[in-house]
Amino acid sequence: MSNLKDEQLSDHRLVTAVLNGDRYAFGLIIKKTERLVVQMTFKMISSPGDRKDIAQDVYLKAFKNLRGFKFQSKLSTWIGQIAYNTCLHYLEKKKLVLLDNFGEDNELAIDHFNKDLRNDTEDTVFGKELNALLLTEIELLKPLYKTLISLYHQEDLSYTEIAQITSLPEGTVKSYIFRARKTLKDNILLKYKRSEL
Amino acid sequence: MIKAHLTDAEIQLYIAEPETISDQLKIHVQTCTNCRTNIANYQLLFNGIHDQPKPRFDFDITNLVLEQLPEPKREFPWAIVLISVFSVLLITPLAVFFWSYMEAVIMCTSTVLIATTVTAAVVILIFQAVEMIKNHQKQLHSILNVKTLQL
Repeated sequence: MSNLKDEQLSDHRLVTAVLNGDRYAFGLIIKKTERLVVQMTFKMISSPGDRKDIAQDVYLKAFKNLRGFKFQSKLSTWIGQIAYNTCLHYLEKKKLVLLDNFGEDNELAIDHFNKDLRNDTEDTVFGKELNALLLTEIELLKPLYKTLISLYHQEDLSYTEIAQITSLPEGTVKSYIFRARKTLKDNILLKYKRSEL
Repeated sequence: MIKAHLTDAEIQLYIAEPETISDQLKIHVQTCTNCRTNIANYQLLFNGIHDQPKPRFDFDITNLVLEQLPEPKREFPWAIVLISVFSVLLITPLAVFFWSYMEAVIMCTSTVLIATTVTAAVVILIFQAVEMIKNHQKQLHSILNVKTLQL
């Protein structure tokens, strides 16, 4: 609670300084929120060149609209929202898919496979080559799932903060994150089993 | 005791939000090797995602953005100028018109009254100066705090 207050106090100081013409303070805002923007652009945008343009666009929009920031959330959450919407707009423009339904057939096959696998109770299958496999499998997820997983697990954001950033209901965020984890687990098990055969 | 294994959703909750899991499910986990293996698998997955290398831009976003920021516009202080002009326009004719009366008042006023008035004015000015210095120091402190903010 106290941390949140401190953070909002420093957010307030930074925003006031920027609004009073201190550009250096805006540099501090960028440094403070850069990690979040990097995560989101990397997870939602596949083209490295476009990421650069989008990241700049995010901060220029934030600067332009800073007077409209009413401290109803953390400054980082607000900039996260801008980043998410900018990426979303880019995907729409390029007619790329943020999220589609997982194939039902694929899920049934995985469930069937899991039943067989449950007999291997002594194995903790994820132990081997997990990081390399995970990296590949995370990249194969849809942009929204990749983003949600990263925000939750790597940026340690709460479901509420993620919901604020993405404007999705908190329950939907939870459900998507659960599905993304399950997909990751199932796909890794599937690949592991295939390599065993 | 519950005999059915934990679902994927329950296993994820067991790791992420253990306080939401019922005691019956917890007892089942203690006695079920299958569920414990599934939990261990998910735990590895959670840790694996958390430990993934964090992406970084290969350019300095701060400099790139700061270069593009528009120069802050210094707005012309219209309000101050208007008030000043209005005050001068109001006071000057009054002063010219009433000068002879004012002169007479000053001549008739005792030295003690003039001294009291001047002292009161000086005291008020001192208080205002102290207040201004305090405000200035406060603002300076606030700016320094922003600049030395630990990120």
